Amino acid sequence: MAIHLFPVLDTVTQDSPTAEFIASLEQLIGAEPEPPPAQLRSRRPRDAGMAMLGFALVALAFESEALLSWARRLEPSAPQGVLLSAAEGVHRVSDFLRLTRARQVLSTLSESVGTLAKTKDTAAWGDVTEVTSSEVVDEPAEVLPLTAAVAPPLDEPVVGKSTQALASALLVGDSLIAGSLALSLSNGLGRRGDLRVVRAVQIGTGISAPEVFDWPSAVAELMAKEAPQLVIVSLGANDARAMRVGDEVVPFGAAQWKRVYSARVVALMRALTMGGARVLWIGLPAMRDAAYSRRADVLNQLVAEAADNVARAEFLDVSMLVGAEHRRFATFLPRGDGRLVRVRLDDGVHYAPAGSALVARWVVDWVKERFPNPLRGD
Amino acid sequence: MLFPTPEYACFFVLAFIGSWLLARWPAWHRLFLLLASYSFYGLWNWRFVPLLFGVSAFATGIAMLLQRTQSKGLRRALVTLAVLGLLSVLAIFKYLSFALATVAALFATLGARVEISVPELALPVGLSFFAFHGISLVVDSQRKQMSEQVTFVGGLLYVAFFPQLVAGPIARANQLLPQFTKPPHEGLDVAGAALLFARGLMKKALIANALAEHVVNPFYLAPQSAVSADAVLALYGYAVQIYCDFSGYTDMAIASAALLGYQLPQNFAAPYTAHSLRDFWRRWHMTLSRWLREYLYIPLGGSRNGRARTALALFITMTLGGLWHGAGMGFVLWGMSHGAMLVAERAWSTSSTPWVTRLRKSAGWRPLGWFLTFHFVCLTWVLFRSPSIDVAWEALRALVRPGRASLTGVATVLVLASLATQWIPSTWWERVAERWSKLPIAAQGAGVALVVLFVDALGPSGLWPFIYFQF
Repeated sequence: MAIHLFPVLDTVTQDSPTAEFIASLEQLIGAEPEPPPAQLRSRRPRDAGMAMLGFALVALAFESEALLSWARRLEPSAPQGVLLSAAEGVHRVSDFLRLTRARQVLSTLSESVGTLAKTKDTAAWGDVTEVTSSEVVDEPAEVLPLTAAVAPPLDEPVVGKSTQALASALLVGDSLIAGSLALSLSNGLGRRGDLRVVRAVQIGTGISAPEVFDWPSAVAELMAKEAPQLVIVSLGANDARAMRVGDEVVPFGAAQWKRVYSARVVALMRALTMGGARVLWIGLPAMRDAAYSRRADVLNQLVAEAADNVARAEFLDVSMLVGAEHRRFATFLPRGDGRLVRVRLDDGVHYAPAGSALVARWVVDWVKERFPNPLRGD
Repeated sequence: MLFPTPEYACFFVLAFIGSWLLARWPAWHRLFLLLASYSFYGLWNWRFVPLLFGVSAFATGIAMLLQRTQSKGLRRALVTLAVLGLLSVLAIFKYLSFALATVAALFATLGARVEISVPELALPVGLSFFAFHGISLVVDSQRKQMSEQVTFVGGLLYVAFFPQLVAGPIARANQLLPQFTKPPHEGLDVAGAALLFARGLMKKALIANALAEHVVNPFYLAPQSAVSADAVLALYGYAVQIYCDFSGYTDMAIASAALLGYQLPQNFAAPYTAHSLRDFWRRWHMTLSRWLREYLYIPLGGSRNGRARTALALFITMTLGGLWHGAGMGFVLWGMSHGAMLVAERAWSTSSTPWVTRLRKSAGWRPLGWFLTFHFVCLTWVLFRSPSIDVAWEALRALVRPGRASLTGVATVLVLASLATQWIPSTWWERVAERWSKLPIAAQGAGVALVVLFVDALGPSGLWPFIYFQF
C-alpha cells in the first residue's frame, strides 16, 4: 500500500499514452513504490534459534579477532576478564585452524581495490598533511571573532626557546583531536609557513589500556620516522575508567591507578621529548557529565604534574579556553557582540569547530613563543 | 547499545529466549519485554530510564483515562494536557538551548548585548521518537481509533519497545499496541529477517560508515578548501550515506521485531527514484510522514479549507517536521524549503494553464521531474548536514570551485553503485529471498555471519566511539 502523505495532491491522474507507457515501463523494471511482501516459508521460534546458533558458530570462528578487540575495549572488571579469556580462547582455536586468515585475505583484497580518498602517505598512519602557507584556508566566519578568542596570556615565562626552525609537527591523540581540532591546528600552524603535519590519531584509545592500542611503541616508531620538533598530544578522554595491571583490576582514582598512570604519562613524555622536541599536552576540557568531568580533572592533574617533571613538556589547561566561568562546561560561549557560538558538540564531549579554533589559536601563540625562528617558506 | 555490536547480539539472544519462553503467558510476556526494553535503554544511559518511564506512564495514564470518560470537555482537556506535556518535555531537552541562543542572536542583531546563560542538558537518546509515540497513543485513544483497552504495561511497552525505541520506525499506537495484547505471532519469517538484518548491516557498517569517514566528514570539516569534484561527490555521497544509515538501522529494527513475532511498519521505499517531491515523501521516512499527516497536517486543517489554508498547513507541517530532526537553523531551513517546494509543486500539478498541462503530460516530464527532485533533495541535504548556516553556504560555494580532486574513482563507483541499487526491481529481491529461504535454517544464520565478516573486513576500522558510553 502506498503511503499518501498529502492525499489531495493525488487528484491529478496521468492518463496520457505517455504516462501509460511509462507506467508499463515501471512495471517492467519493477519500480512500484512498495513491493508486496514475499510469501516465504514461515518458521517456528525454535527454527529461529537454530539460525542464531548457526550465526554464532560461524561468527565465532571467523570473527574471533574482532571479538577479541571488542573484549579488550570493554572497561576492565571481573566479568570483562571472563569475557576476555573466553575471547582469547576462541581466537587461539580459530587461529590454530587458520580461520582468521579469511579476514586478512578479505582486507588485503579490499586494499588492492583501492581507497576512497588519496592521502599523501598511506604507509603508517594514512593522514599526513603538508601544509604550505599558500594552501591555508580561511575558517568559516562564525568561528572567528570571539571575546574569549583572545588567548589568555601565557602565565608562565617561556622556559628556553628552541633555536631550531619548526619543519615538522606531530599531532597525537584520540577523537578529541581527530576532527576539527587537527584541522584548525594544521591550518593555524601552516599560516606561519610550510610545515609537515603528521596526524597520528587512534579513535577510542588511551594509555590506560595498552592492550587496545600500544601508544608507547607507536610513538617510538613515529619519532624515529618523522623526527618532529613539535608534538601536540590530546589523550586521556578514554582513560576515565578502571585499569588492568597484570591480572588485577584497579579502580579509577585509586592510589595505584594514579601511580601507574603518572608513570605512563611521564614515560610517554620522555619518549616524545628525548630527541629535543617540545611537547604540548592539551588537557581534557570540562565535560557535560559531572562525574566524567570530575574524572577528567583527576587525569588533568596527573598530566600537569608529569609535565612539571619532564623538560620541554608543557600542559595546557584547556577549560580556560573552552569553558564557562570557573572552568565549567559550556556548549555555547558568548562572542563580542553577545551572539552565542557553539564550542562543543551535542555529545557534551568533543569540540565544535569554533571551540577547536579557540584552542588552535592559543596553541599557535604558544608555538610562536617557543619557535621564534621563521618557518620554511616564510 | 547500537544494533551492529556484540553487546546487542548477546542482549538479543537473551531477549529472544525469554520472550518465547514466556509467550504463552501474555501478562508476563509483556512485562518481560518491557523490562528488556528498559535494560536496552539503560545500557545506553541509565540516567534517562526514569524519564522514559515518566513520559510513557504519563501518556499511558491519559490514554487510559480517555478510554474511560465520555465527557467531551474533559476529553479535550486531557488530550491538550497530554500533548502540551509531551511537547514541553521535548522542548526543554531539545530546544531550550537553541531557543535561548537564537534570542541572544536576535538581541545582538538589534544592537543590544544581553547575558543569557544556557542550561547544559544532555539530550536523551530517542526522546523525539518516544515523545511522538506518546502523542500517537494519546491521540489515537482520543479519536477512539484503538480497537482495544490500553493497559498500563501495554502502553509502556508500546512507547519503549526496544527495536523501535531509539530511532523508529514510528509505529502508530493503533497498529502496534493491539499486537501486544495477543500472544506474539508464531509463524516467523526467519529467512526474511536474516536477509533484512544482513542488508541493514551492509548499508550501515559498510556503505554509510565508509562514505562518512572518507567522503562526507572530511568535506564538511573544511568545505571552504574543497574543490568542485570533491564537493559534488560529497553532495551525492551524503544522500547515499543518510539513506544507508537510516534505512540500514530500520532494516535491523524491523528484523529484530520480526524475530520476536511483531511487525513494524516499513520506513523506506527507494526514495531516490521519486519523480516528485510529494513522491519522495511517500518513500522517505514514511512513518514520520504519516505521523505528521495524522497528527499535524490534518489537525491544521489539511486540504479541506481552500488553497491558501492547505498551502499554509503544508508549509507549517514541513517546517515543524524539519525542526523535529534537531534544534538548529539548518533543520528549520531544510523543513521550510521542502514545505515551500511542496506548495509550489502542488500549484504546478493542479494548475490548468494549457502550457503547464501540456508539459506535465509530455514524455520528457517524468525524467525531468526525477532529475529536479533528486537534485533538490541532495542540495537541501546540505542544510541538513552542515553544523551551521555558514558551513552550508561554504559547502554550496565549493560546488563550483575548480581544482584537483582528492577523492578517487573507487569513491565515485561506490556512490553511484549504491544509488543504482534503488532501481533494482523488487522482484529480484524477492527471488533472492525465496532461494535463500530454501537453505537449511542454520546455514541462513551462518550466511549472516559471513556478511558480518565481509563488512568487518572491508568497512572502516577503528570506529568505536566508546566515549559515548561514559555518560
